[in-house]
Amino acid sequence: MNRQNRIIQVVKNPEIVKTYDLRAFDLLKRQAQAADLLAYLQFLFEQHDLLAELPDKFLEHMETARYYANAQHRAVLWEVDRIEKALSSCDIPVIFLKGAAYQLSQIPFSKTRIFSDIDILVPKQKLESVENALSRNGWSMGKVSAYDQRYYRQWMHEIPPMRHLRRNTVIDVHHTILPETSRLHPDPGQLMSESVKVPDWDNVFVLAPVDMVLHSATHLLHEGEFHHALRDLVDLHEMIKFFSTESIFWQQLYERAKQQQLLRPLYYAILFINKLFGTSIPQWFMQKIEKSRAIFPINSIMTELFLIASTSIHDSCTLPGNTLASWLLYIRGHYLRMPLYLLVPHLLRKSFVSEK
Amino acid sequence: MIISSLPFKQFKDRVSSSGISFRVGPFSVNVRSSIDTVISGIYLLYSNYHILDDDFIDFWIHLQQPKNLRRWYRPQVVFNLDGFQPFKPLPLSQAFAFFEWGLNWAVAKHANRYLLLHSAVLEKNNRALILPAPPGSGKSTLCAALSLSGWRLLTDEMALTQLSDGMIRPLARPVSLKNESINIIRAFSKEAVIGNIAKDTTKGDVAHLKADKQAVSDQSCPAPQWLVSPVYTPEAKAVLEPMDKAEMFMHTVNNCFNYNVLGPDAFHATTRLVEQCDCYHFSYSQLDDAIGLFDKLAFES
Repeated sequence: MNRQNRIIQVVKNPEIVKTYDLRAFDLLKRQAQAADLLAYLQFLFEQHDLLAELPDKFLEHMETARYYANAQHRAVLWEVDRIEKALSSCDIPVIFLKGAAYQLSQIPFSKTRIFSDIDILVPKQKLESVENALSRNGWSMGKVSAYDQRYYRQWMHEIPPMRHLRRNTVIDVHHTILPETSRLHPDPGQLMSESVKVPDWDNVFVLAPVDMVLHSATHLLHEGEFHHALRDLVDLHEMIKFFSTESIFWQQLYERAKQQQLLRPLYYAILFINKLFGTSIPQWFMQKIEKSRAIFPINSIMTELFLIASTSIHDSCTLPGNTLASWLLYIRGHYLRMPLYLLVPHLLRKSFVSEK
Repeated sequence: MIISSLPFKQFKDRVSSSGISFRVGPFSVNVRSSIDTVISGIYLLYSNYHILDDDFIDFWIHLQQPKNLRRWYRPQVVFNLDGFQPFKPLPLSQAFAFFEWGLNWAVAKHANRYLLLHSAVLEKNNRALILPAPPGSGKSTLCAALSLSGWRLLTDEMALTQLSDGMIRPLARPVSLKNESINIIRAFSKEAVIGNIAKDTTKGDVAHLKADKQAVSDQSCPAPQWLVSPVYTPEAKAVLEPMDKAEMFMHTVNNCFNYNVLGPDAFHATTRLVEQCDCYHFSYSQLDDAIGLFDKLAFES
């Protein structure tokens, strides 16, 4: 059976839809629904002036997805406004990360990106006042077990997620971009000091473009779960297309990755988008970061596993070995988060103590 | 070709292997299941629906028993929409009703070309009677009775108002009857074909009334003419009272599935709908009185 991932085909070469029959469109729709990328495809086809080539039934599903994305876009801007107001007493710049930040930066594809949580970055010494300010304004952590509290507060890079009691929206408050217990330690102070103010807002900031790319790449390579890996790869592909129109971008990206010890995750992220979508990367840049890859054979195994797990998003394109690949990467994701003497008891506990 | 033109054996083989595709209003559905009540329920209640050979299907639905101990101990059924499970499993005895609820959910989440109202719609003389109402207002019973009295059924559950032109798209499906309504409708008409009763669901006892052949095949889209908010009131006489348009606007918004998703387009569509229609409050207890009143309304305007 043909196991093609149609999304990858189309992102790489949108014109290919001219050769699609209805069965191919059916699979493209189903895979894109499963990966939360159907609204993005609408944007992509619009940009390439291909909407007229598409069957009406397929258009209908894309329009439906686009309505959800637009509604989310309205909701996110309102949420940013509420968070800015809630934190006005904390005397900090409010720095938004990931989905909300892409929208605030108006990266063209970002209006179509579906996500569930809003992420912000605050200085570690301000965590308590931020948490209190959010509590006073309607966000609540709900019931979090003592173990989970300790897990987050001692080992992680964020506090337990808080949910707004009326709007039901979730905010993740981070104080750095990787867990405290992980091997890499990018400096959050530098991320904050170089953050960029968003025009038309009083106190809303996003990371500098190179940091936004590095954060996305790091996140992708340190995750243990792959439901959204393909969407995250599309983020990187689109961000890089958008930011690399500035000629200085690549040099800056290399410098910053080196400074922040993030060359390896950056290498793999760049390798994957280039392999999957044909994202154009300058040759000198590729050669330079290539030196940071893992040694043979870990390098090739890692690449294979990652490509299998991130592209197997629907029954119709699940590759052989996906179950094993996903399991190995799940373990790896946790292993990168914390040393073994913490990880083994943690995973044992998670598998025996049922979540309430 | 319609479903009843397949012999049951052949139908059953197809549903339990590749699944069977058929047209429901503007949508195409593929159902795959080896659960007997699902197969016989569809064969009975969807017998007049057109079988499709399409390669592009809107909703890929799979109902199966979970592959664990629950296969034998208090057996359950899982509703799966193309690999996604929007609901927790239900007792196996509710499998056919689960198909109906699951398909409602699928349409409600994937049809943003329409303003989607929680509403029954019936048609007479090419004009649509729209009955938006919350659960428990007697909407389905009234809708079932009207559909058995010369009104054409467009939907008992979800009105599809086309954003493009404001016309109502038919989505004729089995009418969901609850508790006492099942016997009321049985007594109301000898022609009523009603499927098996699923007992003790979260909504009580549930059974489905078959939509007639005309309702299934007629795909014409009538213009909205009457917006009526029905309330079943024990012992009450059937009364239609004019309703303020602003009040009807809010009543419609409160019964809309995708108002916040459609945003400004929902506001414009609702405005157009309310402006186009005569708006009424309606209270009733006796179905015969209710039908008399609606027949008169249709005749006079």
